[in-house]
Amino acid sequence: MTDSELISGLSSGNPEAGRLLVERFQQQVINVCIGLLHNRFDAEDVAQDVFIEAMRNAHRFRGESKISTWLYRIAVNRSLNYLRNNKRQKLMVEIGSVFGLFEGETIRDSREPATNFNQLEAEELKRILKTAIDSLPENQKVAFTLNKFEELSYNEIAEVMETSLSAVESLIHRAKRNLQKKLKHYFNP
Amino acid sequence: MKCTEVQELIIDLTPLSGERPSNAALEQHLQECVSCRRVAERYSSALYELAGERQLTNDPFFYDRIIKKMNDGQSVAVRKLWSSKEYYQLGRALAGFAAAVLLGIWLGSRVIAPLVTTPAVKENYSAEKQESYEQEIDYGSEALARLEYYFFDDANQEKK
Repeated sequence: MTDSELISGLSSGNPEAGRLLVERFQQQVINVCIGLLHNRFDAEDVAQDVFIEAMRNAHRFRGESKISTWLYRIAVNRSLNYLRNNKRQKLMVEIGSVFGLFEGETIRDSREPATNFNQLEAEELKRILKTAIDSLPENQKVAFTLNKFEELSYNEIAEVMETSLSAVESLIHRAKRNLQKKLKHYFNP
Repeated sequence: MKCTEVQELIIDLTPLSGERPSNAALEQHLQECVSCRRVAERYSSALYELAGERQLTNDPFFYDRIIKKMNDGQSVAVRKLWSSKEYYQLGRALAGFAAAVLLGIWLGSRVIAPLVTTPAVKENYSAEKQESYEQEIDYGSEALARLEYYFFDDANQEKK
């Protein structure tokens, strides 16, 4: 099934088209969400919403870009919205915890206990890199993640982010510079 | 090649998996500089670990879960931040907090402040008391003079 057939199938409410869309793009969408959220459960939750939005709004897809680009765009927007809401929610949980609300509820942390020193060090380095990426400005973070983890070309990133090629180049360059600065103290022995 | 340039290249060229794209200057520097080699190893390890979180196979039940979620109308966007129970609990906690603040202010002004400021009050108090005693003595002398005038001043008896 070609992209246009898939879209017309989705627009007409064909369930097979929906199943095919999910099968074909599931990994890409979930991985973008994981790249931005760093939490598998949250990423799957957001990815489900991405497909729901795509299926509901398939009739609006004009076919000017690839379906994958369109899905990446929805995934990025949804993930960023989720992060913004989550920030607010974390703040409210913290306010609530001051008054003794949400007893037993802690901010989720995907870290698992490490079993030996090497694993501990690897986990620690991963956490440091994750924190450094998370602390980048939103646009730099999106551009860097799409380029490094999804291995999208600068052109594709420009399409997903609806910006120019030179802007993407600049964003990725600045992201790498910022990461270098942030990681300097941690990665230098 | 400087270490700072090399470290920028490390972030640029470290791949998620497999070999790093060949860069003669970088490789030579890494062979000679222990510090940069360590940075490259650590960055590569962290990137590899982070990439390990990615999903590499399709979940066969993912579509069914999407349909279920679609039918339930439970998207992330429509989920409420707090339930009404939690708002009620927060309201109760805030009311308790406000009551505690008011009680504190009342206790502070009525109980603690007088204890802390007792000497000043006592000094004033004794001065006031002394003044009142003096006044009382004055009144006493005046009264005595009046009594003497009425009862013992024979020279003015007729006038009275």
